[in-house]
Amino acid sequence: MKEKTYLLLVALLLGLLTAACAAPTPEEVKVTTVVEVTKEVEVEVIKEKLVTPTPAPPGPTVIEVITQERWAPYVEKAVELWNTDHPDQQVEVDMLVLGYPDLRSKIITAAAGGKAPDLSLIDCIWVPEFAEAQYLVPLDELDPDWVNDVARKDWYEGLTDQTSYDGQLYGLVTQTGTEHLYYRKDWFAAEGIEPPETWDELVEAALYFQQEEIREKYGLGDFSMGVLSSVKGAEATTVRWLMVLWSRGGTVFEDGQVAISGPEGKDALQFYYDLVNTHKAVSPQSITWAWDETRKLFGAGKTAMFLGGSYEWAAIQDQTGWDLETMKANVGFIPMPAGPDGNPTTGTGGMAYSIYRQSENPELAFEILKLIVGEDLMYEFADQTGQVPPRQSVTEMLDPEEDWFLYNDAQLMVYARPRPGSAVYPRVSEQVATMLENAVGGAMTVDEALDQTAEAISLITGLPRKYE
Amino acid sequence: MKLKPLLLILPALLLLSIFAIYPVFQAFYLSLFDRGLLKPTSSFVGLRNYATLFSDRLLWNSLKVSLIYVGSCVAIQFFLGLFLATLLNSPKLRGRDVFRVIFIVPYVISGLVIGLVWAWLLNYDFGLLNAAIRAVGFRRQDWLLDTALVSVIIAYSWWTVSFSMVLLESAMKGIPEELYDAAKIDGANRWQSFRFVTLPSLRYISLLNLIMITLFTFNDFSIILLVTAGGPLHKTDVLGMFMWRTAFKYYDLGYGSTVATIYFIINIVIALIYIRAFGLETLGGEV
Repeated sequence: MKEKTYLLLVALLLGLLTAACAAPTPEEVKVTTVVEVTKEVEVEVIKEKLVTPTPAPPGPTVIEVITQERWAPYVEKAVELWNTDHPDQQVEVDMLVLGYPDLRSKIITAAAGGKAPDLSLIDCIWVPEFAEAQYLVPLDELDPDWVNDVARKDWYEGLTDQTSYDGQLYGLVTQTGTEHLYYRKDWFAAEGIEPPETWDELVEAALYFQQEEIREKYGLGDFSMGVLSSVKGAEATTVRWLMVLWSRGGTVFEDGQVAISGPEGKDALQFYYDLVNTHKAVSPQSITWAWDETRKLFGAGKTAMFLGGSYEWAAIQDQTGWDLETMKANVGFIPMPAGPDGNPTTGTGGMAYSIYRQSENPELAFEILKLIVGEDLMYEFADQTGQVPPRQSVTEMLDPEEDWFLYNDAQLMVYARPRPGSAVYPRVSEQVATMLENAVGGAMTVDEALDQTAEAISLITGLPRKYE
Repeated sequence: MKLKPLLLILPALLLLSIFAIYPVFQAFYLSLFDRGLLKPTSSFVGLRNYATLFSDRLLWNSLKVSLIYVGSCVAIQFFLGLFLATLLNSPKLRGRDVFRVIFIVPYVISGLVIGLVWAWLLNYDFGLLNAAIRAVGFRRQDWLLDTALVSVIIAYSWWTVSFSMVLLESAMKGIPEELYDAAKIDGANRWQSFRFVTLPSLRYISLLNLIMITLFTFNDFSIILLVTAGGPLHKTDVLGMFMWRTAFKYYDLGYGSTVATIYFIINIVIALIYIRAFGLETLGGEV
């Protein structure tokens, strides 16, 4: 009896474990589901034949959308517009609204499990990665004329570059903005300092406000400027430093090679290092900061400048409690000043909508998408949410007085550079942030940090290094 | 062995198999593949992920950090828990229930809240701790810079110390009063009573407690994720953070599962070390 019981237990466990080891992959699960659905459909067809000789008019087509809260009403409005114009092809939207932190994991797990939505909002820097994973359908495949005549001509070039992969467009950016240099316009004016146009002028301004009597005069903290150099700051850390690299004329990739460790990269990294360790204008704590710490310090009047994004304008206004007129008088924003042999630069990005290969109605989803990013809805969205429209035609609709911030931020789009369109960009980005943390924090020299980062990016991307 | 007890444990065994044993084997299985949620194809690579992992300097860094983090947290939780339990068990203590509630409150709060609160407390510019320090005339401290690991050790121990306290206090209440009376008659002072009566009586619960808090601490990185995110300079990058980043940030399931398998093996080794150190009979098993 005892032996039999043990045998039973062992068999049970073995059975469980064998089942575990032989567990189907998501692809296999998908196949099983398809078979089941087919059977159900067959049964339905038989029933229809037996009971109702004439088929009932088809119901609305369901379009599954994953989006964020601020974007959700505009999806509904687009569907309403579609349904008004197409009484014979009604659409019902099945919408999942998520916060930004959950968006990426939810979409990836859904797509990997064969249950991707028809349409979803994604950060434009994820587009090449999702395209490489074959989750997205190129929009050129769905409507090449519209893509060539409208999307490629009306969207800012930097943004279509960002959402393209292998020459095909995979996403349409819904809103944008710039990464730039914020500065206290009122303090600069009171001290007779012009907004900086070069790296040297930027350092001069930082050192001016670093003086003890000036810090006391304006109630500044220990440091006059805020820049992020922490891995914790995630993408904000990377894109703001990339802006410095671009302003020196450098790039991460050049001619299919990893070029970050060239002379421009070295200068850009040294510039960050010096701001913290040589000029002592930026806190050494910057290697521990969360992405919004620089804005919080600026909003609290503790720094006179910081590298930040246009999406932080509203937060500064909230924090300071200033009305628009006071904001206009006190807060200025300009491109990152030009480095040696470089040009003033801004960074850009935004959230884009993409259509999934697993969609059963990609053409219809694209028609809905065209309405979501149509000029009227895009203008309304920009106006309501304070986001710069990514279409030049919609930017032209902005009123310089009524839409003061949007209008002026849109003027900085001409300086904007897209981030590298790599399928492994998130990992490249993390390497850049790690490099900043290592160099600024003193764990490595500037040369060592650059060398290690170029090597890591080369391994991740499989591209050779331009500078050994 | 009778069939009835087996049938009774079967539901638990089934659940354990599905939610604990199956994922372990599945993780090992995945670790043999080059597979990611963002990779269109998956290929069998044998033990290559293990070779890569063992040559990854971040693994060795995270093992070192984990050792310091877990060792310190467990020591603080256990000894502080023992101290608080002894205090709460003292017959002279007034307002015992109030103190007990105060000590237990942090443990019932979610790790998310605790992490956010500590991130704010330790913030250099806006944190309560530095504000208090400045108010009494001292310089602000870089809690999350050079002492980041110490800061997260304190934060985690503060959060979880009451677990040990509750376990040990309840065990202390079960020690027969006669033992203390006998010790008193033999001339034992308070320390000797504690040393020769209380501590030996807590052997079983201490083993259980140590196994549990070691494994809890080793497997929980929520506070670190929220307070330092493993930085700065990987100073707080425990193995859990390393695994999470690989599997759920890069979606590299193959490599992430390799880390998870090593993680599992370390968990088993920790449990075995404790059981060997205390002797199997402590858990009621055969020697």
